[in-house]
Amino acid sequence: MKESRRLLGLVRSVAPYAAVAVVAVALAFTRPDWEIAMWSQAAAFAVIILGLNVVVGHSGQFSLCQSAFAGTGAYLTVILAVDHGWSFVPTLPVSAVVGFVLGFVVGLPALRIKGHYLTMFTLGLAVSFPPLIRRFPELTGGANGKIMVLQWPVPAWMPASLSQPGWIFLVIVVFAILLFAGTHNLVTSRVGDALRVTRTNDLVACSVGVDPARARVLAFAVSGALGALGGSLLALATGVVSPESFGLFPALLIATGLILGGVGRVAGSAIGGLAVVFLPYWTADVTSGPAANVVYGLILIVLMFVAPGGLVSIAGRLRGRFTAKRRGLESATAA
Amino acid sequence: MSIIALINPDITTFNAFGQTVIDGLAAGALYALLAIALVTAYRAGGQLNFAQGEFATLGAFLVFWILGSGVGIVLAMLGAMALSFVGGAVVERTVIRPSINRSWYSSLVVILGILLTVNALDAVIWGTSDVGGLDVVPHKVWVLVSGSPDLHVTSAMVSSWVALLVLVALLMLGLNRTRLGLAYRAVSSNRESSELVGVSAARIMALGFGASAAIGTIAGVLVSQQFDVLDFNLMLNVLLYAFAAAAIGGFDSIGGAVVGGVIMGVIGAVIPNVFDFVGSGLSPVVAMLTIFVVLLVRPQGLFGSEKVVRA
Repeated sequence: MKESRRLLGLVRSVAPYAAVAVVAVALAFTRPDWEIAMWSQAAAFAVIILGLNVVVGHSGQFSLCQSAFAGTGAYLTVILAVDHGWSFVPTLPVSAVVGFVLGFVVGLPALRIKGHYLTMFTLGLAVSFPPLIRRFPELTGGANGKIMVLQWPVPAWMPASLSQPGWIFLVIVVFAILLFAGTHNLVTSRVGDALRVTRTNDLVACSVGVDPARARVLAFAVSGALGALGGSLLALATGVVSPESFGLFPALLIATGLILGGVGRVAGSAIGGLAVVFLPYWTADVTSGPAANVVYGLILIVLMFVAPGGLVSIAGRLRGRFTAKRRGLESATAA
Repeated sequence: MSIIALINPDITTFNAFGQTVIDGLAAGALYALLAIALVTAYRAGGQLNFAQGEFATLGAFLVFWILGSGVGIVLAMLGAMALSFVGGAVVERTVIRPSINRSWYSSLVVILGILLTVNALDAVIWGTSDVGGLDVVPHKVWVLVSGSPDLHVTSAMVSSWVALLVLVALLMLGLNRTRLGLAYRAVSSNRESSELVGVSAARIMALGFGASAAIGTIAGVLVSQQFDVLDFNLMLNVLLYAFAAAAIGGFDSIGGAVVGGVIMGVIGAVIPNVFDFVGSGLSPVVAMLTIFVVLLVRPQGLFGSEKVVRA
């Protein structure tokens, strides 16, 4: 009896990842290359948003500099791969460590302040990232960006029908699944509890042995690491990096993805990644350029009135209708 | 490497350095104006208005639009300020305030949505390229000390400072000598208690937001004049400097915003000019690092009375 219950629990926790893997394999073998490239970017953005979710959704601090973390990871990977001949995978630990340290430094003011003041600083960082990249053209390629020609052919043990973009997509999905599972474990562990208790009340946090300031800085460090890793994956997906793709407006787009998917929910980050890539694609049929930004701006505003918990919360609400088991996201985030 | 080696050799003459400081003071007046707009909105509603820069850009474009119908600059500015005032108050009343209690992040997200929408709307209506700077006063240059380069001030710089000083004087009079100003100060110090003595906090919040949008319009027009540019990203860097100025000043003090603006103006002009390796491209970085240091060392700013919530 107990054995079977444990088995059921394992199946339930692995099932979503297995489902994603199956869908990814199906996509990689059946869809045209240009569309697979978009799925790759969506998976990379999902990881970037996952990082933002740790700091916003769990520690309750609104950050706008996830684009800068992603840009750091993306540039690191491209520079190491192009100028120093590294293969892709070894650049990931470097990216993670640098992202972690950068996130830690960015989070330092959280030791002393709380609330939207820190958001002001992260906005500054998002605006500052492109000029910083342009300032060192010999390293970063300056305003023109940098192209990554990666020699990573489809391995021989893969079926011959798998295309090059399909292979890259599968690689990105494997890393994304690992990072999602790892982050899910982190936020459901004691560390996650510590982050969430600081969101509600500092005194309560102290009384259960959590140092709220340290927890807040840690959340930034983790979001920096995940953002940089997502950026590295994004560089692999697009094969090109440029300063403007990691400025303030990409940061706002990433935040839109997070909000649209669902703040504080791991599944919401995955939906957010899809939204960041496919929403501009769909709106491009109707409108593009600045007019598309009007649409995203309005989406943000309307969402806050219709579903502040994002699309995941709508799914949860529908399920609540049937099971009467409310997992009230609103009540949890309103605190 | 000694510090001397890092210094730009062209800046060591009196005129060159003096001009940098004058340019900085002139920019500081603009930062102070936008910082006052931020402070006005913050004191009324407790919100950091990340969309303040976009309100100001829209205001400057409104002036540009009204000028197109052939009226003078003064009428155009008054018209744009009136429109901004009404727009700001309506947006506060209908969009921002109803969002405040929906979740802890909803008002911030709504403001970011407004930032994105207004920025893109400007680009949709007036295009993405520069339409040319606005002129409030005729362009004149007064040479103070001749040489190479001349130490000079321009009419644009003077007009920015005059606007700032007049605005501060009017605000001080309005806040300290009128019933409306008293009500505003009451709401900003304690919303609940002010309701108890019959002040409509809701009305004050809308008024404060409207006033901040109107002040922002002045800032937008003068930025456009002084930097001789008007495009949809006019205020992005200026907003960052205004945030830094307001942070230095303490976010709820108008005098603090002026002092912070002057400090940021001088820092923003002197550092990139004196240190070659910084250069003008990194000016947002200077503002970002200033905010970082202020938050880390003195989060309540130099003149802030209300305390920032401590972690």
